[in-house]
Amino acid sequence: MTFVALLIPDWPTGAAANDLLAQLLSVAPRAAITPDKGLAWLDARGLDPGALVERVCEALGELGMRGIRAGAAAVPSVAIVAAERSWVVSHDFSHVVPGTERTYLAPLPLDVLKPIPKLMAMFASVGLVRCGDLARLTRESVEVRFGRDGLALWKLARADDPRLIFSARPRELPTASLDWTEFSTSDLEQLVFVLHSLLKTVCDAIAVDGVGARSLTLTLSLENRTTIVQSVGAARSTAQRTTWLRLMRRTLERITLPDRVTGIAIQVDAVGAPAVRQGDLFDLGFASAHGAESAVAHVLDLQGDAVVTIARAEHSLFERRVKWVAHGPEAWGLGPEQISSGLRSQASGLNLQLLPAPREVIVLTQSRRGFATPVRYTDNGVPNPLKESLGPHCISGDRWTERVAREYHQGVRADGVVVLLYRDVLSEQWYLAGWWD
Amino acid sequence: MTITELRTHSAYSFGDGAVTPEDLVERAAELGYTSLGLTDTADLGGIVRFAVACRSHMVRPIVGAELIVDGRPLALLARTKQGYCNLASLVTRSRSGELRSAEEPRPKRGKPRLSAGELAGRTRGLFLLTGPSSGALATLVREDRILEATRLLHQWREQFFGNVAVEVQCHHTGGDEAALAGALIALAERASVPWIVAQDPRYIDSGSRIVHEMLTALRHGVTLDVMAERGLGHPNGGWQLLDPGVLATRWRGREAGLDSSAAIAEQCAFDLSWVRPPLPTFAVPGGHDDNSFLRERTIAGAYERWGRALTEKQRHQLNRELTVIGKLGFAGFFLVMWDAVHFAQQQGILCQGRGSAANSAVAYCLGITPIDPVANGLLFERFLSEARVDGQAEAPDIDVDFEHDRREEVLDYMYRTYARSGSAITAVTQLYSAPTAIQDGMRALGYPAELAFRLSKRLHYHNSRRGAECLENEIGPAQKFDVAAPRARALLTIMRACEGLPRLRSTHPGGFVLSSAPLGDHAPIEWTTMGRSIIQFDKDDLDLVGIPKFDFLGLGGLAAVRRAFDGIEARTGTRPQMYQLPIDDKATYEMISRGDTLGTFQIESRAQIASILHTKPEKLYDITVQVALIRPGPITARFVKPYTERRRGREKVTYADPRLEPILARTQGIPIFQEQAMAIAIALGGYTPPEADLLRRTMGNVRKEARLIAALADLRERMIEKHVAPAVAQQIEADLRGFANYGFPESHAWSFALIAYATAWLKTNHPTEFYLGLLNSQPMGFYSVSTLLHDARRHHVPLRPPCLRDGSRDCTTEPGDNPAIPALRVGWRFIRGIGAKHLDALVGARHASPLLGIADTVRRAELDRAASIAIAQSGAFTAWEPDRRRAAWEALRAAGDTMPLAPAHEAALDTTPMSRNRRILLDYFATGFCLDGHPMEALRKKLNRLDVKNSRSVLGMPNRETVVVSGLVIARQQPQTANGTVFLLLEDEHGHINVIVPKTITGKDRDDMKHAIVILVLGRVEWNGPSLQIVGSRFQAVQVEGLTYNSRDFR
Repeated sequence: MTFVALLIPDWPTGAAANDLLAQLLSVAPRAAITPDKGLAWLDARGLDPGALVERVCEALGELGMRGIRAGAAAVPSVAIVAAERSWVVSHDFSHVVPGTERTYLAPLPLDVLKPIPKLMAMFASVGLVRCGDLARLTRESVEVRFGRDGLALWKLARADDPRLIFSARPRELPTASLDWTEFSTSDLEQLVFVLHSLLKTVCDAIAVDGVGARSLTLTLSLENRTTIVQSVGAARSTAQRTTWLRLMRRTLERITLPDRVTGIAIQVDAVGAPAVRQGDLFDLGFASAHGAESAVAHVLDLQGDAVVTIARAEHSLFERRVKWVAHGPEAWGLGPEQISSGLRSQASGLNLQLLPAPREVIVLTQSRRGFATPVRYTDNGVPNPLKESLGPHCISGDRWTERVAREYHQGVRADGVVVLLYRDVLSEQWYLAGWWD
Repeated sequence: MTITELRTHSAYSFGDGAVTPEDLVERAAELGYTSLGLTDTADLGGIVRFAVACRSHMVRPIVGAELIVDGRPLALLARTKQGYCNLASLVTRSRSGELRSAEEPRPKRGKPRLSAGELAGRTRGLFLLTGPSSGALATLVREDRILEATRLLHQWREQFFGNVAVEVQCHHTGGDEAALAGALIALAERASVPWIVAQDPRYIDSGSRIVHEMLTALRHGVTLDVMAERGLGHPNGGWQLLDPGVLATRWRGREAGLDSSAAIAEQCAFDLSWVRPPLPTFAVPGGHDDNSFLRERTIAGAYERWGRALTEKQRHQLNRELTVIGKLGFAGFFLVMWDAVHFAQQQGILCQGRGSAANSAVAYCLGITPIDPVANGLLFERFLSEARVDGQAEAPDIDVDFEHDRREEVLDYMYRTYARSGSAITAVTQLYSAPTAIQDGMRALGYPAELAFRLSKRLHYHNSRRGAECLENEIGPAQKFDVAAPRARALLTIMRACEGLPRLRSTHPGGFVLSSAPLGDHAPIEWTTMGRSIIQFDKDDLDLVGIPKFDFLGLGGLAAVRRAFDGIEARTGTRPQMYQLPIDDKATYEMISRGDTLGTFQIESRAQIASILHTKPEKLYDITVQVALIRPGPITARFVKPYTERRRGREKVTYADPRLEPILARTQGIPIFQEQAMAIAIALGGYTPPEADLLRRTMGNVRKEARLIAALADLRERMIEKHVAPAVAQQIEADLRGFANYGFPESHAWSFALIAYATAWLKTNHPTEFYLGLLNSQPMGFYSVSTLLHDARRHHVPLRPPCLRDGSRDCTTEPGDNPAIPALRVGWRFIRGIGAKHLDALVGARHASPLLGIADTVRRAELDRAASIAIAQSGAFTAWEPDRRRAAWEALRAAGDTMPLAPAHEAALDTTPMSRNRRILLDYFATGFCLDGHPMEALRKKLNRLDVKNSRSVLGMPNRETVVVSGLVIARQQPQTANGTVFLLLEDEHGHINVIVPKTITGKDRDDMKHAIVILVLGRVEWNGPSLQIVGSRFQAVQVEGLTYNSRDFR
């Protein structure tokens, strides 16, 4: 296989990133991207790498991407080095002929392989400067002296980089096991006890993926060095531990153990969509969870990938005490109460309804203890006498983004409505901030 | 109606106050307060400054503290002396717990705590205020537990003998606060307990308010934005010292609270003398009191110093001094100092008194100081006089230097002898500077730490206010920092308001305060993180109050001399004695006169060397003058040039008045020492010795310039009265004013000159041991290890690199080719990258049995990979493997091969030989020095092609010739007296070059000058007699790949 590594200096963001992948796939059969490194991969198996690079540069040029460096080699790490050195070698593309990767790397300084600084200092101390110097050493001598990191770099220096760039990663299904070294048992309850714990591990793991297990394999290791392997299936996909524990117990009850058990392992064999349960969101009592899910999906489509909840703060300004907070995907499975747990809950009683923007009002005041206290306010030409007013509640700050100086007053109108008024001390203007209902 | 504020906080609440006591009092006086209470949180550190400021503003000081009792704050005010002692004791207990030993559990630093039981035992003479809304009483009221609140109030009233008041605060923060205030007033009235109005101020204006917000944010470890979001700060500026008129308006109809405050203020008193603890008593033998025992020890010492037959002059001097000491009650003080010095001498720790104590014959006879004041005509009144300031005698000031790395032994001895409760070290209050203000400000404002660091390092040596100006006008625009942004404006406000503000409290280098009574009852004590106990008062506060402090200072020079003496004794079997060295060693003076004083004590700086080349000292007194000459005082007074010219005979020594001749003859007619100023006042102004000492003290106080001007004007008048010509009197006045703040006492210069001579004598006669002592006492002195080793090489000392087989942790001597000059083996401690843990392991392994090879060393000392390669790169494995790469290869194998039953196979490593230049750079990387080469050698061929001069060839250049020189920058200096001029010291393989950087150099040249490791300088040759300097006009950094070097910059 021949890999083409593309180093893209101005990595696109947002929708343009999707365009990039589309453009890559328009010229190569397979492509992969590593945005944080500004790196894209193309599969050039059976193709002329030079021509492929030419086409891709042209395609990406349409997206306004310039200054792309490319390298091709049968070993991914060598392809990257070739791409990085393409300016030095052949302006914008360098191709390492298959079979010559180690020779290609040998004269290059070790830092092309990007070792950690500590490792580089150790190499320097023994005079290892080039990749060839390192590649020449024996595995044991490197492992002993430079440890695991050194060994990994030694492999790279020998053009030994077996990672698969394009192959699909097989899905890993969860497993859990326990082995005893000085203990064995044939007691059913003890075995169930252990299974209870192991099942938690696997059930939690599959639940995170949002799926349920269809079948599990139970493996019992015995003292006589034999094993018993039993497949346990469920009628429907589920991630519920209690269900699986019940099934496991039933299976164990059927097994006659020839010897005492020294180890237990369970492995998920197959997964499927979990059985749905009756929904309780947007369902009007009849819709299924699928219905609720699609409704949520619709909301997400409209407002983006976010769950939005109310967060309450202790900010001294009323309008900044409540704000909407977006949560990432990690919070999608949680209710608003759980998300906002830890934040102070508001006391029950009347709720303060803040106006979207404070409204200028005309206020008649009287002096009380050095402050101007409102006795009547006129809003949109309508006079509102205040039977009682409490305050001031002073807020001031001369800070880094805004200068604030307000005197809040709570007033009780003749109709019983409690209103929140404030005087902006800086502008000498009165505002109606909101009311309680 | 009199209105007072009993509950102010100053910056001594550390983190919860943003105003200095002086500013607080000044503002209070402006607003018309006639009394003011200071209640810092578990801290009395500000009360001395507060009381002094109150005195000058005619404000009645009320001293108190806010204490955290069972987790809730309350405030205590001192009513009487006993009350003050109880208050100090409670603060001590809340900070330090039981003062027994450093190992005992105690409150966490910065988290003072006290239990109600502890409070109950110390209530006499105190007035209790119930605390803010978070206090115990207010909390109970807020939780509607009125019965418990009433019970608590009654309990306090009993404990404090009725001296309790309910504290009511109103900052207009909402209905809850107003309701609480009403409930507290109702409670107080029901219980017939007075209530007071307290604003609890922490700041005085908008600038100090934003600093308080910054401190609050930093205390909670959040930014100002988060602080606001979480409601952690004050919602408004109500915690400001308010105008009494505003308070009167606010509490109209409820004046009882204001009246109670005023009545309580009347009940409270404070006197600075309460702060002064009783002097320590010395355990004198039976039949003696302090005075008689001091006389006995002094006479015994006099016989040792001067022989049995004392001259009349000596006898008279001792009698006079002992009489004054007895009269002032300082005999115990001298005995305590004698005891400490005696202990040090018994332990073989070199020590000697410095400073004005060297003017005392008693101190000399007790062995505290090394200078004979009778023989040298030193003035006793400079040390101790009967003059009284504010009705009290000034405490004697005895500073004793001990070897810096053995000083701890003396400190431990003092703690043992005088118990933890009676002894503590003085504190030093660190004030905000530009770098700390910008760093704290930017942290609170949420700027990235890297940006804060980048800007702060460009503001070194500025105070906070100047730093703000510099940031706004110079550094901000240069660093592309938008100073116009709102956040940046806030930062600038913070920096300006931080000016002079205490930031934290640290430990004084060696000032001990001792007392025969529990010290914490007078000066609150707290623990430091190092396990020391310190008092909360700053060293300057002690002077103001008259608390004597015992200064036990560490001096690297003494440690270096002692180590050199150890080396000489080990080699020759004879140990030189510090004060019996031949003081007329010609070779020593020749070496000093050549300016070859690098590494010697006090006379090693480039400025000293440049001066020495002109003054050419010939006797010990010349060195004494030299030590005092290159100081800010004589430099700013422009005394250096006339002194030098007269000493060289180019200028005639003249005296403005014939009576000046006996005083100034020994310093070429120029006043250099403080004692001479005193003598002039006595001789020409008719001052008595105590009056002259008062003048000297006024001259030494930088804060009281007005007093200085008045004192010198008085001197001028009195001189004119004594028939001194007005012009002469005026000239003397101007001269004395010029060096007033920085004048050096002659006695102090004598003490330093002795050590300077001892080090110079060692360098001349025992160079190997000299460098041995110097290197093993590092860090100390002006020069880096590299420079010292190059100097040693120039003095033909055979140098050997660190070696694991033959060397040791410290530098050692080994037999060399010349028996008189042994070789110097550099110690393992100079290998970079191995810490104390690995050094201890290496010493332990070596102690157990000799190290046999690389693998043996690595395994027995359990070195990790990093330490193994650090040692290999330094060449310390050379005894077993000369090739450093192979040594590293082997060391890494030994460090990584941890399975003894399956050892790794031997594997050879092909190495190419390392070039000499490469090895020199590796040496600098691994140890910071190279014993047989200099990094400039690698560049020399290229530099020669460019006609760049080295330190040797530049000596052949004529005056004012334009040259290009280059060198490794080993030091950068910017003395305050130089008005922005920077001095560079370059080093190459032949020696050193002095470069002057005029302040007009800017831009890239200045950046290169400040940061380059190796630099190229285009400049003009300036010959000044025998000394050469290059006045640079262009500067360019020279990149040397792989070279690492830490120059000594701006120290």
